[in-house]
Amino acid sequence: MLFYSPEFLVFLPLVFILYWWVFSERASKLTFLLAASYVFYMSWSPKLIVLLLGSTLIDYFAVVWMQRTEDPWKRRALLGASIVFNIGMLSTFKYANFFLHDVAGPLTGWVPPHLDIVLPLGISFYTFETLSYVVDCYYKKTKPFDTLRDYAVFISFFPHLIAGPIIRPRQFLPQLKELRTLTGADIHVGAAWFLMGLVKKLVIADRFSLYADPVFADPAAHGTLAAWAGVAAYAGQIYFDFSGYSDMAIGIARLFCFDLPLNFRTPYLSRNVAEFWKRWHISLSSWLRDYLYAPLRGLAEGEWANYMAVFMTMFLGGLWHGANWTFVAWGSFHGGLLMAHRFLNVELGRFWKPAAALVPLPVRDVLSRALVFALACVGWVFFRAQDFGTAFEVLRRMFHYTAGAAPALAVPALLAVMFAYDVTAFRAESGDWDLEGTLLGLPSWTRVVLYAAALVVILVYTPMDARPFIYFQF
Amino acid sequence: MPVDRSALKALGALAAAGVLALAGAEAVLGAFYPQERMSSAYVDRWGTRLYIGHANIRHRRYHFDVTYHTNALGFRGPDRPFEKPAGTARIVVLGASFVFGSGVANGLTYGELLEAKLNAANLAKRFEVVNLGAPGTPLAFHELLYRDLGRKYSPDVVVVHAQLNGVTDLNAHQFARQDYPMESGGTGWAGVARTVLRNFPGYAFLCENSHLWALKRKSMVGRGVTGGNPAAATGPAAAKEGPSPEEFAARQRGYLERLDAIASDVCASGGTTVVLRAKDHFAPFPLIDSTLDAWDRARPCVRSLEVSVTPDLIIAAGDPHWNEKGQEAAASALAGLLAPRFKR
Repeated sequence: MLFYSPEFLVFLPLVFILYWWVFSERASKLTFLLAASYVFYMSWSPKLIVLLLGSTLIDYFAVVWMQRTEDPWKRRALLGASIVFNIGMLSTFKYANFFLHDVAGPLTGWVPPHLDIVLPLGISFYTFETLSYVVDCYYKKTKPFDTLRDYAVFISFFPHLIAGPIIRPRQFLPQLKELRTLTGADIHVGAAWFLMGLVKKLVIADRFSLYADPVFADPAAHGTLAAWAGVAAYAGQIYFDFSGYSDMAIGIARLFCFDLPLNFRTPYLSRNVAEFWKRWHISLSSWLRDYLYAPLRGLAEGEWANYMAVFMTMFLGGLWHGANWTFVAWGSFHGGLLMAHRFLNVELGRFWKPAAALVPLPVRDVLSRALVFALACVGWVFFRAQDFGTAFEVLRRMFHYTAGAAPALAVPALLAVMFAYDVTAFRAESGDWDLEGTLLGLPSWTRVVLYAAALVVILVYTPMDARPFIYFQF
Repeated sequence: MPVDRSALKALGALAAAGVLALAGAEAVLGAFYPQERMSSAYVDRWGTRLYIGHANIRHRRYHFDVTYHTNALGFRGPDRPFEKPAGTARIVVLGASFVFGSGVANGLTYGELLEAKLNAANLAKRFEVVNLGAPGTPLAFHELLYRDLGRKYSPDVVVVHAQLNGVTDLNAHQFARQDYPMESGGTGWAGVARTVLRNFPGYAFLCENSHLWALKRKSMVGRGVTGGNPAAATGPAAAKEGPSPEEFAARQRGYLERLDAIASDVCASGGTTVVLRAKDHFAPFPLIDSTLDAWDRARPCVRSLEVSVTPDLIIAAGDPHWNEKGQEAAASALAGLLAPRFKR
């Protein structure tokens, strides 16, 4: 059930009506929401619900037992067992064939059998959520959920179940304790997020893909300009595909009076790579920072250890995205960029910063943003390419001038739309413009016209063959 | 009840926006992208809809905007009598959207190009190519069509364009009329919703006058009903939605049996069957691939022909049909194979 599928457009209103108008008590509401979320998950594969249930039960009871003892060894053992179970489950279902065929095979010369393993949808996301719960409870950074049902709703709440945003217990627990009253503002804001996500995904991201796909299908047939256009189109596609999904998730959750965290904050307007990672897939990057980088950083003293922690975090973050060396290369590329950024600032900053300060700030801003976007594009080549051969051919086309047909004008036009959106959103983020307040302050008829306009754009301009969300494969 | 009264007003606003959007979409499409009405006829015997006798079917998608002519039977190409004129060799082409020429203008389908090439080659006979391609149809349909129609043309050569339809997600039981997705509105929740909608009073009136509906209908001309995604039968997606290994092997065998039935019949009548496929298209189906190669070596009246398809022969990545260059490549390959057989 994709968020834009006909099935979901029946499912959502049905669940919404039943949740608000049939179930009135907190307990019955949450039980119903849990059941609806499981139905949503099982619409893909009924069998795989077992893993979700298993993960939920094991981590819930690990914390329950953790609460009942102050013995540090027992608590540590429970934490260790939970981590081993979760990482073991993720490794088995996501990486078993990768480790066998791409790691063990080449190292040992053994030809391993191909394991017939299904990648359970959303496993990468809900595993991180359950892990963060157990770790936070171990360090007493969050209170445990009162009931198994509440915890299960936290894990399986359908708007974020498949592809995030990855939420933390402390973000969700207070909302579960006190269910809010549904107001007109919730519906308007939820609908606005949902429609914005639909436009981003169906009208813009899928259209970007029409120009990105041919370049990655046959890079040798494209000249330098077309290669850059294709890669930039992919940068736009993945941004609006994933942020569109996240917007829809935020909007749907708001219809049930739950707030999910923002997952993207105009990443392509970042002025350096470190800022990019504070703005791109925020719920993942902050998770990696708190649960991977921080422990790795604590393993050793000194600046060198810091560099290694940054690199390993990005290396593993790349691997999290998919069981393929190209994803590892993408993560490592960004790890290298982050290390270079830190080195340039901390070690070499005194040499170049005074000279850079002579350049007017607006010029510096534009140049640094353009550089970050270009670097992000280079990284996306590894992320999108099926294999290294394709990736290097695309890069060769990008950096070794080759004449060829001019790229389609639609690409710069779509990029202009994307950056116009980003500039608007950037203003809103900076506090210059309260988008939510503006929306709610509009006369009713204006809102109706705005929603209708968004729907007209979707109805008229959605490509016939809408694609699944890119991040569903992770 | 924890619902504020303002929520009801907001829901009313959303409903109003929905109605306004439908009207707005109709107005925008009517003003800027008017959609011609297309009537398709359901052919009970073949279990599919065909666009019969249209002078101009405009098929518009993001990467093409072309106009088709369909003959009295609902296929592309001129109307031809069943009786074969003296001194004429007939080539019947069976297949789905690639043969129909989805996204390719009149005169540029490989059937038409092949006819022109052979007639220009000064061979022993005149040539007529009969295009029996229908988008989105499986091999089961092509077999039926061959028995019902193809034979009547007394073909000297039957080209079967082997596509993924019929192996991946369409198989015999789905081909049964009542389950045919294009007719029933699909399976699953969406199918139920469409069936309910179709029984809604005023549905016919609203749809017949709707540009939006016409746009949606037209997308089905080229898309067919399967999506034809090879990854659905192999690779990572197989585990999620593809058949089991046993069923997968059974589907391949079933596909070959149907192909064999056509080829055997053509052989028995003294004709030649050419199984045309894109190179590597059937790589995920090793049994079919190897069997076709074996037939080519062992059966004099069956030839297996592979056409190399590079991305520049494809309409667009989002709609992987052959473009004019792809059709030309297929026509050239076929002409190269067939011309020596009809030398003076």
